[in-house]
Amino acid sequence: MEELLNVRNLRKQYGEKLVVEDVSYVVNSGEIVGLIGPNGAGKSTMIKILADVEEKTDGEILFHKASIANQVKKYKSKLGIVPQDIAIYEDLSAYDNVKFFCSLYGYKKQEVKERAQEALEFVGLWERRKEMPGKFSGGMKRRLNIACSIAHSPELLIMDEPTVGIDPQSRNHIMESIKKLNAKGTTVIYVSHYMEEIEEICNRIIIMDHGRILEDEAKDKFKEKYRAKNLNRLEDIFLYLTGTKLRDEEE
Amino acid sequence: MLVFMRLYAFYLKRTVKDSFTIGYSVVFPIVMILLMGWLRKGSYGQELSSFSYYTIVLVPFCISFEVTTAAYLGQEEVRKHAAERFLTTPVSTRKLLLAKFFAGVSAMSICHGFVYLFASLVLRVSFHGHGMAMYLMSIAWTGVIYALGLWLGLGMKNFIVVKNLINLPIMLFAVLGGCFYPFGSTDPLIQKVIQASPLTWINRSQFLAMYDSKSQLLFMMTIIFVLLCIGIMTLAVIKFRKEAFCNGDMFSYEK
Repeated sequence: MEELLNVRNLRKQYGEKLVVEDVSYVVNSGEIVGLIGPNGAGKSTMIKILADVEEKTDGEILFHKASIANQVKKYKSKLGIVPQDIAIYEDLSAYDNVKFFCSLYGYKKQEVKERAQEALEFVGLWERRKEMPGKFSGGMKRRLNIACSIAHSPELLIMDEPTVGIDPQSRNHIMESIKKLNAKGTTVIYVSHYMEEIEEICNRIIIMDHGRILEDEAKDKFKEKYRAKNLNRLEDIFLYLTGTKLRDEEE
Repeated sequence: MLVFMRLYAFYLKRTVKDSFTIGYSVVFPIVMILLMGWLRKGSYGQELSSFSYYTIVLVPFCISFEVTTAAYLGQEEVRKHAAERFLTTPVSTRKLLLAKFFAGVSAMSICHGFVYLFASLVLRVSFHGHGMAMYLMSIAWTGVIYALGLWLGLGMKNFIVVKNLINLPIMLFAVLGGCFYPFGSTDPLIQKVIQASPLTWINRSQFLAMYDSKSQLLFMMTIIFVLLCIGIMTLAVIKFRKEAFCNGDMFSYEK
């Protein structure tokens, strides 16, 4: 598999507080990488740095083996982010939302329309395209949030807890959509607290805590590794590595 | 350029339809002109009606108050949780800020044009052939105010702080600039203080153009405002911090 993203010694510091500490990993094309960790583990900060929304303190990020600092525009045109918060305009129709965000990638008007239609069909909202998202259910808003992030056909899609607070049907639809996207060639970094989702769709799992990577393994090897310790479920392994102490830190 | 125009059109449509913009840029100045003009009817002699006086002085004053509207509009992405999405697109922050700026100035200038038109057609206010020059200066002043508001809006978490911080000096400048009643003094210190208000200079330049046919000051003010606009916007682009845009934090504030 070809190397798509290479994160080297990434560090992020807020004043004295080290939030991401020398994190290194590689994401290959075609992978679905699950990123899990307790609250305050540094996942969201790392995602924000990858999305170029926050500045890193130190380290390097390579995309197709070249530093993203030297190819910001190219990197961003190949990157899709599904933010944790639903980032849509509730006073614009679902169709207009997707068209607007897709238009920022420089496509011509007709292509924007086609891509918006494709994205809305993909998330099952084409029939409701003329409606305002304000009237949508939580699951529909989440699906629209995804449509806005995939209309430009990103090569790398980063999803930050895209299934929070939605019904099982919508969650199932989103899971199936991610598998389809991946089958079409999109590489996915999937952040979630839901272990069953990670187990279902990811082929590699990274566990983070206190700004560090504790584990980075292919899903199959991961389970093999902890079977000897009688840890069969991902959740058991996660709690074994990160502890059972409550985390009330701010993400 | 294509993406810039799309952003411009998007922001323009949203700003023109925004209730804050309509309230502060159309309703508020018209109500103030009608109220002050009616209260001070006959106070300014035959040549200058009270409605003329208050149209001339209150439009720039109301523009000054729009700094709050601009700050509010500057925070729209934060309120909609859409800031991250904008920053992850290939659009540069320079394009993003300039599109917001030009769209806001255009929308507000359309509103001010409507107020001048209302004064001219309904209140029979005459600008003595200097209406266009005065309107151009009002656009330049809107630019300064909008750039300032945008900068504050992008950098401040608490919208109420912006309002409270900015309203007091604006009111002070308005009193000194004669926006409520002509203000003057023979005291040298008070005279100096009066000169410190930008509204003094704006109003003086307008009256000089209208009644003494001296439009040099009006043009000079317009040029100064354009230069100020460029300066503040350059600063806003240079000082732009992604974290502040997403979270509404203060500029230069480190967590």
